[in-house]
Amino acid sequence: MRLSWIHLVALGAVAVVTASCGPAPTNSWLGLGLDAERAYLAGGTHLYAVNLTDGKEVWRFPAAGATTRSGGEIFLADPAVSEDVIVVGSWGPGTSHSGAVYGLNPADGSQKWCVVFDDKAATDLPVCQKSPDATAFVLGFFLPPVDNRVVGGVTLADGMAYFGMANNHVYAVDASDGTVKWVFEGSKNPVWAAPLVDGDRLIVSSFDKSVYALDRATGAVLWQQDLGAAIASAPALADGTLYVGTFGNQVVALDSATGERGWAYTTDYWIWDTPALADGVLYFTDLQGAIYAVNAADGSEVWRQAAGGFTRAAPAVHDGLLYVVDHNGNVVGLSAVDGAERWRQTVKGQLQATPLVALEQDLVLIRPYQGDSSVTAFALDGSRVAWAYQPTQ
Amino acid sequence: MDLWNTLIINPMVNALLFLYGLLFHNLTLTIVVFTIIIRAITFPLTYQSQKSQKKLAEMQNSPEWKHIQEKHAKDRDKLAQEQMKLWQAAGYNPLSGCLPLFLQFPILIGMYQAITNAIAASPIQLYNLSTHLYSFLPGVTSLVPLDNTFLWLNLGLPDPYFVMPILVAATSWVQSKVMTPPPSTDPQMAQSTQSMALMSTLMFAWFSLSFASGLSIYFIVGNILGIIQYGMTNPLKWSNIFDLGLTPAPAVEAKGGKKSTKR
Repeated sequence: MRLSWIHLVALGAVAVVTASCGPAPTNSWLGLGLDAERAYLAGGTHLYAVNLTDGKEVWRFPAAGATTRSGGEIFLADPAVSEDVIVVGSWGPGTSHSGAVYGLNPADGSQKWCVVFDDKAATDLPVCQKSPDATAFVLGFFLPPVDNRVVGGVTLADGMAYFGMANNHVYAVDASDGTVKWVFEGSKNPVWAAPLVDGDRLIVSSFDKSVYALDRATGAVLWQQDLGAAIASAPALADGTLYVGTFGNQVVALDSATGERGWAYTTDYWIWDTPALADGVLYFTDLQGAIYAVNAADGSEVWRQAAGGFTRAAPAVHDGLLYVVDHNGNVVGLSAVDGAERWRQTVKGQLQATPLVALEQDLVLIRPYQGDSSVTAFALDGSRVAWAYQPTQ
Repeated sequence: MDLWNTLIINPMVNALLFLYGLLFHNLTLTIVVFTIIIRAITFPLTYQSQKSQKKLAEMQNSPEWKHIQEKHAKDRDKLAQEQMKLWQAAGYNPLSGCLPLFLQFPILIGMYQAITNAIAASPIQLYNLSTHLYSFLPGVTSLVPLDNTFLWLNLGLPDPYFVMPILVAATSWVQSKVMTPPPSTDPQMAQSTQSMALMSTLMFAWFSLSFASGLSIYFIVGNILGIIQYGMTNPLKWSNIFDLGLTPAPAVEAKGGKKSTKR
């Protein structure tokens, strides 16, 4: 076939558009939870239990060879871990957003219970309980748009699991058997943040720009405070005060009992992640990578560092050191006193998730996005990589 | 990449969000209006390209070209030389056809990326969106997150019921058929044109199946606007819509030349 310039142009267009419109990458960084002995990695197709001392896999869910939902599940939200149960939410198969929440046995990863939130998932997973607000098929097959993803994570307290979903709802589930106790449907936008437990209150941050305090027993609204910008993470809590980072370039102090506003500290750009708190000082980053240390009592600035690389993740703080990560794969140890750099390591991949400190093993764990490993464990002084874990197929 | 973001993506993402604020926080309406604006901006380029294609097709059907083809049928180099002479005599520049199209690509690809970024249905997409926003523009960040539902669609996800891919394929097919340039007397050329129509239809249907349905809205509106724009300067050949190219088309009479068969 002879090609004219018209065809060459058209073929060029196909090549360019195809290259620029390639399949979207994995849509989130990986979720991670810890107990004293293991890390639990929400690593895409599975939840993996990994030994903290040597980085060896202990079990995975679903287990190899297990019958799974058609198309599998996607696990990306932080799991909640207790002695009795691990609770993890999924995004459903592929781009279905027809997620489920699973309760697992920490010893071997066997499934104890599960909850689904729409008729499609209920058909796929008949053993699961169906949430009372589950989206129903219309005409027996047509499922209206659902966004039943647990994005941020799950919180466990006193035998209850609490989580928000991208469908705008917040759920309280009995962690022993998966029974849904109540559903809060008052948010007007998705809830990506894991809820925060404060005594009898459940604190919920929402993309609808509000912080809600709910009665943990019933889900009734105790107070609501509109902060004027989307909120993507849970507040930090100390001495009856909540500290909330917003997309309105602010960290705001709220009275946890009443929701009354206290001080506000203005940053250069969005605050996405939960501030870290130690010795009366809040540590947080804005999305352009600036690092802030602010006095929790009055919002006065202790120190701030200029932007390094873009980052979404808040620092982790432990024993006088901040562990900060950024978009360029840098892991940096900073003095909590003045922000001076103590050590620096670089890994392949973006670092968008907050590092976690494994106290008994003296390790700081990071989760590279599109890197060579799914979890890398550094010694707390940054002197060495203790282990790196990458799941095998 | 930084230059690409600075010059193309960032202005488009912020313009999209600005429109979203103006248009009642309706993302579908925003995509429609945004597509219309971009198409209006690129119309001079589109028009120049279409004019050039039309001129080329007319030349390929001219008796002079037929005569040259017959005379130099066995000497391809000479044929090419004579073709260049004919083009020069007619004042036709081959770049005038393809250059405007190439200039449009960055804008159209940028628009694709801007829409994908603005929908921001996942944490990584939202993070990427944050890197494109002009923080100095008042109120832009307060628009986040965008409401991405429309009828049965989540605009950030492919249409699970395949309605949008079907509409994209249909409008893409109609556009490519009604905008077919005057039938070429060259059967190879005619066959290539036919196969391009099918290829582009399948390609856009595949995009629509694979990517966010917000993009399908952009494709559909873009195709309809393409037909309207073409119709403003050229006759639309609605009778071509059902021509699948499976059976020989009626012979085309070239001025002063022999009859040829278009497939």
